[in-house]
Amino acid sequence: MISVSGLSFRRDGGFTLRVDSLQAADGQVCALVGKNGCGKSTLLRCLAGILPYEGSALVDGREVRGLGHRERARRLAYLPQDPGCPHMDVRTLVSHGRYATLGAVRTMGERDRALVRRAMGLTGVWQLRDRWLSDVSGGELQLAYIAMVVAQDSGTLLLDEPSAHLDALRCRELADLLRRLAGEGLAVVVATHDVEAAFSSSDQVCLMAEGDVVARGTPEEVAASGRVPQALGVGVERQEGPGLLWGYALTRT
Amino acid sequence: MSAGGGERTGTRCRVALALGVTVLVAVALASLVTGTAALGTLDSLNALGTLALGGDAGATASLVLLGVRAPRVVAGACCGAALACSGLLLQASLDNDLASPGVMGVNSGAGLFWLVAALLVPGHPVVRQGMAFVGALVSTLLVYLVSRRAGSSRGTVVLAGVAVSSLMGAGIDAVVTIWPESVADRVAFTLGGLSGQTFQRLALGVPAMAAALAAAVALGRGIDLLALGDETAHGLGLNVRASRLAAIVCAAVLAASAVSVCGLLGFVGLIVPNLVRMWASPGTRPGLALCAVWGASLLVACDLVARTVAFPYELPVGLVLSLLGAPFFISLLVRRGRGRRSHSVAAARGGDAR
Repeated sequence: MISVSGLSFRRDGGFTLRVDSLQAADGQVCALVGKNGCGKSTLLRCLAGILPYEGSALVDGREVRGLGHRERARRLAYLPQDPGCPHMDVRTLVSHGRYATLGAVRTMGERDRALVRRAMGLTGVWQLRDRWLSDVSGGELQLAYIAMVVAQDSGTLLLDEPSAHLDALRCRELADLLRRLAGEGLAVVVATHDVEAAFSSSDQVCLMAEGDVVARGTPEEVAASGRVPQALGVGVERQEGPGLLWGYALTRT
Repeated sequence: MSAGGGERTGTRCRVALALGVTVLVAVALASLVTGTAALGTLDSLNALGTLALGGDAGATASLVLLGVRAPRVVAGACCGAALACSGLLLQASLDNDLASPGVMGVNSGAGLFWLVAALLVPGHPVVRQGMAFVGALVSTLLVYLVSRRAGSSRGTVVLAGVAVSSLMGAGIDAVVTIWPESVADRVAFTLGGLSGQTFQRLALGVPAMAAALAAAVALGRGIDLLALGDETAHGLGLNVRASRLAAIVCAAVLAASAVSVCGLLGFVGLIVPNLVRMWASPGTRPGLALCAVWGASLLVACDLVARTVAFPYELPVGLVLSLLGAPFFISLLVRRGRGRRSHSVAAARGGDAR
């Protein structure tokens, strides 16, 4: 569980992030949406302990900046935007997710291997396990990275643009996967530009603009707040009907 | 679908390691029984057999084999292994294939400080060894800090390395020009050489190499994570800054120990890690094992050529390394470039490659 209160971060260039309050409870998917440069990734990087913030960010009741590196990684998994394509195979990449829990000699045990297999199965990259990362598509690479943070087996997932490079069907499958992980008790925080997916499959939407949270609540509450067009430049509207991929659609403002 | 990358890597590592050990044993034996002294190959073999069985091979044979050739072979193997492992650690920690003790100024930094120590505190090998380590560390950290301030791109790291290497190299030239007595054999030091080795001289460098190598193996999994990028590695629980610094310190100790024994041998730290990564693409731990074995084999083999090819003269081993290694390395780079281009064409025709 993530709990934020009075968090702020000021960049040298003048950008300031201010989040008065934000909670992502266990079993919930919380989506951060907003225009480019509104502070979504900055907030995730503060929560991941990468940027030095002021105020409070608690994970499982412990202040993030007070945690040691491995202790933090055991409680909180973070996947940044556009991770690279190092020269290794998919299985090795996913196995790196177990780093924080390995002992002094850093060799994997049976439980570690089982978690790696499960993560590859959940994300659909099991068939790709022996392929080089340079030999898979951009979407498959993204799924391999998501498998890596799932293998980390921490209670909270922070994902920055996890649907980048994924086709429409894979985006839907990713949303279902995140819901399933939340169903297993994880708190999932996702920064995304996929507004339809965010409103359709999240328990909570956090609408951001220029470093501030301008609306927060259930997708219905945020959609009805009247803040969406100003924050996103587009509207969002509930849609119903058989065969629709998402429950919300973008509209012109 | 391509064949299994992980299984292929494991198999290739095992094959490369077995082959490397075989080559190392072969070149070490050849080096022991070949020489310019008045002890022919057959006599050397007989004497070696006698010594191995605990017998008395005679004063001359014992002196040549145990006092001259054996220390030289051990020095070559240890320095080759240390420089290759140092190169691998620098490449992995700085995420740059061109990083090596020679390019990054680690060797020249160690060399400059070693010379200054020899000049100021003559007759104290421990001080020289310590100063070589300080020089290697100063150079590496200078490159690291300059490249961080200048943007830390792959190109910047190498450019900063070239600049620091030039600076330290100029310092070495200045010292040996103004105080030629600071080094006994200027050519052997600046090009790298293995003549005149003794086990006493190795007694300081080899334990430092072994300690740095053991530390690097312990850090191996963390160094692997650096390839994923700093933020991803941080998210996985790695103390990125400490791990990178520790890898650099290990690389500096390895290079400094080698420089204090064999002078400024640069090329082995570039060529061997790249060959290992091209062939097997291993993680840091198996990569260190492969680099140690193949670095040792390459240097011992080149030293054998250096001793025999221009008999009765002896070439500096660094010269042989560059003459043989550079064309071989260039041909490998060209072949790899062709392979990548044909792969790109095939991928473009095949559609969804990336």
